[in-house]
Amino acid sequence: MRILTLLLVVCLEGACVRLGWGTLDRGSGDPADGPGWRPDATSIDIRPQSDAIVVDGSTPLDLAVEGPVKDGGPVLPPSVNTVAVTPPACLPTAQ
Amino acid sequence: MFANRTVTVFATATDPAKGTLSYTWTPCCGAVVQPPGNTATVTFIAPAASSATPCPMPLTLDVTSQKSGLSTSKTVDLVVTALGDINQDGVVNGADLTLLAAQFGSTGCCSSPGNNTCSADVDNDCDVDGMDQALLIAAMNTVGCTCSAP
Repeated sequence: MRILTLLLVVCLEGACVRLGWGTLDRGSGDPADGPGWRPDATSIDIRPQSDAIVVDGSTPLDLAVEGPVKDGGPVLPPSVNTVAVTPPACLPTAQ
Repeated sequence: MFANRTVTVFATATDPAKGTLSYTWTPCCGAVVQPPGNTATVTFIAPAASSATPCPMPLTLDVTSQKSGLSTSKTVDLVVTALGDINQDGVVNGADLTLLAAQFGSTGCCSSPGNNTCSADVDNDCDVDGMDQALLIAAMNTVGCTCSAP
């Protein structure tokens, strides 16, 4: 039995699902045809209400690192701290 | 530093990967470092200046981490003056001979190893004597780098 024609919209955690125009009825009396929502359209429209970036685990994160990565972190090259010369090197002057 | 004299070079380095470091020294102009292994301290004979050698002479050090495999290179410039060029003006001449004469007879020039306080001690034996004078005269008109005190 057709009891109502309406636009059904369901919102959950910032996202709304418009199920579209349809009919909520009690069914035709056939056990296989129980009461429920009978959509007039088949499209389902999902509209996020914000521009939030969703990381679902399948999106690779592009993190820039320098050098090889060992034990979970980037490894830096060695650094030369001092070079001492004996006898002391003199400074070049204009020739 | 003077040509044909022993030069000692020492480097300190750190490895963020906390591995063992190896040192590779490459002096200019065919000089050979001793010991030949991967050590932080080496010595070599300063090559004589010539038209084929640059002034200053580069000395390159490559430090490699045995753990990460990464390396760093550093180059220092060594100014090598001609043996006997006491005033280090780029040529051995009469001015150097005058300086030697002023220091002639000095002894105890080496206050510590590698620290010779007599600039006219040409043969680096811790005194200024006839041997130094003979070497200077033999090297007269030899050219090399010019430099100022560090």
